Amino acid sequence: MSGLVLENVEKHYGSACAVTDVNLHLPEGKLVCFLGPSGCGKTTLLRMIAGLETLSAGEIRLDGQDIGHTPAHQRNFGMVFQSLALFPHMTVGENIAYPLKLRGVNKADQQARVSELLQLIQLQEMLDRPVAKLSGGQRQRVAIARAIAARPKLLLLDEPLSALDAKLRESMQVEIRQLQQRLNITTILVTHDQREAMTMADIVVVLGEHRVQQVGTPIEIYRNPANAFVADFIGSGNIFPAIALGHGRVGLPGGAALQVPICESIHAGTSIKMLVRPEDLQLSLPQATAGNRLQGTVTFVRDSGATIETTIACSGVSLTALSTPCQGIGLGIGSPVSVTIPAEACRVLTA
Amino acid sequence: MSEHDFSRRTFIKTVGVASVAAAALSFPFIKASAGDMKFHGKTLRLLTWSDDTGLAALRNIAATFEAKTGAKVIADRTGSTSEMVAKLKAGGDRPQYDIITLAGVGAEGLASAGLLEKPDLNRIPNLRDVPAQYQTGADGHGIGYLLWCNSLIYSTRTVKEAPDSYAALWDKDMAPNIFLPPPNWTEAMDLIIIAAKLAGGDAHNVEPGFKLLEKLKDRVITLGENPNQIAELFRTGSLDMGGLYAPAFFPKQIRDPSYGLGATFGMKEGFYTDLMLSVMPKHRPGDTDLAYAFIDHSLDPLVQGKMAEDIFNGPVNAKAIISAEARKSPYILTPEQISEKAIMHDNAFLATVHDQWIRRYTEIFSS
Amino acid sequence: MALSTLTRQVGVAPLRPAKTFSPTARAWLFLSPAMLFLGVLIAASLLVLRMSVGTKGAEWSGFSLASYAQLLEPYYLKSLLLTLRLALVSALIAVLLAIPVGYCMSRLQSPLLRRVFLAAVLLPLLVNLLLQSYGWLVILGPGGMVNQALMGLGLIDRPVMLLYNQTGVLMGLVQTAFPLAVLPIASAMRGVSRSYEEAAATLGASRAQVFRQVVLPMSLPGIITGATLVFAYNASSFVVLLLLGGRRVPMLAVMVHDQIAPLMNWPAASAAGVVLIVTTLAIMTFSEFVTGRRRRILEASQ
Repeated sequence: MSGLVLENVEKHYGSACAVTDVNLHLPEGKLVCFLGPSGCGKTTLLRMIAGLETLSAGEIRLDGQDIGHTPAHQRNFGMVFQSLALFPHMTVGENIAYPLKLRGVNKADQQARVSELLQLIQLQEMLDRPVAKLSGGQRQRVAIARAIAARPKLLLLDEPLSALDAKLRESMQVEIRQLQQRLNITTILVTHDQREAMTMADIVVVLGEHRVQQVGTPIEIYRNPANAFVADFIGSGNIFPAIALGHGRVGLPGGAALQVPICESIHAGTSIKMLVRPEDLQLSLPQATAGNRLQGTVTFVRDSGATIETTIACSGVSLTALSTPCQGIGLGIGSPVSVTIPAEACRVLTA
Repeated sequence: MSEHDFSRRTFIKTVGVASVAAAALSFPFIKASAGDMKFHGKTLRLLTWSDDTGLAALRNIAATFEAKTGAKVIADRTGSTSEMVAKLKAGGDRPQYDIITLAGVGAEGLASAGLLEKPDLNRIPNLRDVPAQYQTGADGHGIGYLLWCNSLIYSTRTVKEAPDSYAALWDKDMAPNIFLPPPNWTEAMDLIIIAAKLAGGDAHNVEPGFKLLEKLKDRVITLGENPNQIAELFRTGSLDMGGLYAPAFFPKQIRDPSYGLGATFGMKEGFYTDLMLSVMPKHRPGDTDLAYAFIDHSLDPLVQGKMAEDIFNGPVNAKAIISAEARKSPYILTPEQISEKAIMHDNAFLATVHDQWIRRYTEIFSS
Repeated sequence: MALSTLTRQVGVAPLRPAKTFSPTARAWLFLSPAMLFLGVLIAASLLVLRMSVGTKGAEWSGFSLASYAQLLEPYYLKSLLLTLRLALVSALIAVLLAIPVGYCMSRLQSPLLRRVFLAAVLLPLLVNLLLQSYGWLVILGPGGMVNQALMGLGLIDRPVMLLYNQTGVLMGLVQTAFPLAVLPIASAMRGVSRSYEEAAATLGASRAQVFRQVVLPMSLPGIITGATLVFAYNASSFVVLLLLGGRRVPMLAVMVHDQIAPLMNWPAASAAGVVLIVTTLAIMTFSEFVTGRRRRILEASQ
């Protein structure tokens, strides 16, 4: 199988488990994002792929070859660290040429490759600058150029943008994504920022509680979270308890019932959890209850200008609805309101 | 006399005489009588060395003086003669001490700086028993109180019979490994003169002496700045002979058979001595009569004998009382031996050649 | 506006009586104990400088350059060269030994182990030099363990002189000054974050290459500091010469000592001291000049 395959990968420090039971296939040329809260093991996983941590168990194969115990310097992967780790005692050019020098590339070819890369990152005139003289974004680009200089089989990015301010971070996200696509290099990006993952990734691997929670495209992950952890971590969602009533109906704690796309295997009487994205809720002035339309009372309104978040108490659960100002119907705290929950927007979550 | 910088730098600072009072009880050879207690309540401030000689002076001189007169002796002890000179110079015209015991070189330095009072010899009755050449030093500013006597040191394990000539140092078979005094010590100057004489020269024609010394270079293990280290080298069998060196540097080790340390004054060429002096600074804090009494007491025949027996220094008093037992010891010098064999070097002459001789000696033995 | 009222009320809280000191004056006041201390040290050096152009017996009133002229004689020039050579060689050896030790210390994770290591490195500073010299005697002396072992093995029939010569002095200089080399090097290496090593490894550098091409150049300022400290410390070393040199290695400090005791020639001693200080300072300045640019670059980025 081509690409990177992780099989039953496991890492623990003494009795503390960092990550366990990881089985992944990362296809060639894709940008894969390891997404998860801090402490979920995503960085450990990346470092094991890079060869900076040993495996406690399992296998890592690249294009069918077991590389799980190959030392880092023989793996030919490029890695960009959170701190960037540009060598302060070298100029920009020397930093980029360093992996080439290590591979015994001759001087002329080194220079050619360095100027090619500098052109790619649009820093041609910085060749002889010491890295201390660069701005944050420039350093970022140099670090990437250095990581890809020796045409690695895999590019690993460990939260490389976390030190940048919000605006620069967003433009760098686009820049890195474009670069990756142009070079068609298999890339793994570690981040805790789901927006970043959504923007950049072909495939998102959600990690939580030391294991893989879900693998899928960003839209799949968002639309069809595999479980409550993913649903909660990705985007904001209304997650509330319910009881299966059979025939595609569920009951809310307050007694109201909803028609949902529930699979038949869940028996009536089972406690389940429901997810409804805020943007899928439709608010209207009080109308008679019908179908999936329920009655509620507004408990809080957050108007950020671009969007309005309305929190509603409804049949024993608290729901948040997201609407644009033009959809607004002028609700205030205490207003009675009707909430329509489209059946196709509801997801039943297993625990 | 040497600067014995290192040996005396044991860093024990001011130690009251009280600390050796207990030891004094075992030396009740000076009988206190009520009539002598005229200095009761008075205080004498003494500056002496911090090594074994200094300790012995506290035991044998200061403690017995306190017992005899009722005066109190507060002693300050310091590492080397040059430190004493520095201390007194720092005190200027308000010195902290009534009496300082130190080597001739230091006394000369202090005398030429005008810091010393010339003592009145008539107020020191015991001086009548001291041979003229040991009575005073530093142009009359110091009163001799003991002789620093330099011997040949040898290993009792490898050297069967005590050497009877300095020529033994050049005897490769008798003593393969030797040590010599360090260049800045007066002992080195004396050794140069001895070598010169052995080679047919003398103090004013030392070139043959330097030539002879060069022959020792390969056998010289160390120039012994530190007596404890020298004793240790003998104990471990690394040295066979050496000198000139005073047994007073390590009286304890000489008494301890595990060191195999022997010392002899029996060279037919005689042995070199350096006169240690008591001096009185001008503008002393204490009582003048008391100071004279103390100097006189240090020359008492009994005290002189005890000092000689205790730390192997030579007595200056020709009537010093050495016990019959002590007379058998090769290290304890009697007044008779001193009058026969002791050689005093000419400090004034040495001062003129000191600088050059140190250089030559240093160059010869540089490794 | 309500907000400004609020802030004003806080501001109205009674101020301490206005001090007349300006911030600059206060800064100087704060520095004054340090300045006073440095002032005394500098004054002492200036006194030595004054004495060095005095004459024997008239250290404060005379004027003569004879003491300096005397230092041009081969006897003193040889001694100066020997001093610089031994100080330099000992600095090189100490740094070479300190680099692996410092690296090890900088990478130890366990605080306990780190403390044990530090204590071991600092031991020479804690144990009296006199005691240390007995340790050397027991190991390397003519009757010491090394010689007995060699003789027992039949490799030699006479003890090899490892002490009381330049070898002995060199060992003593390296040993006594070792902490001065290790501490700045370990601290500089701790400043080289692990991610630099890991970055180099992912770029294809073997452990040796990482060490040589990343860790060493990045901790160069600490290495230079260590070497300079050892050099300056050992150039003026005295006690080691007495204890392990058997008085046979005439470095300049011994000459200074001989001039004072027994010769009491303060001008000559001072002149030798001044030359030693000036030479050491010149060499330190030179090393700063040579490595200063890189040091500034590294410091700017850390």
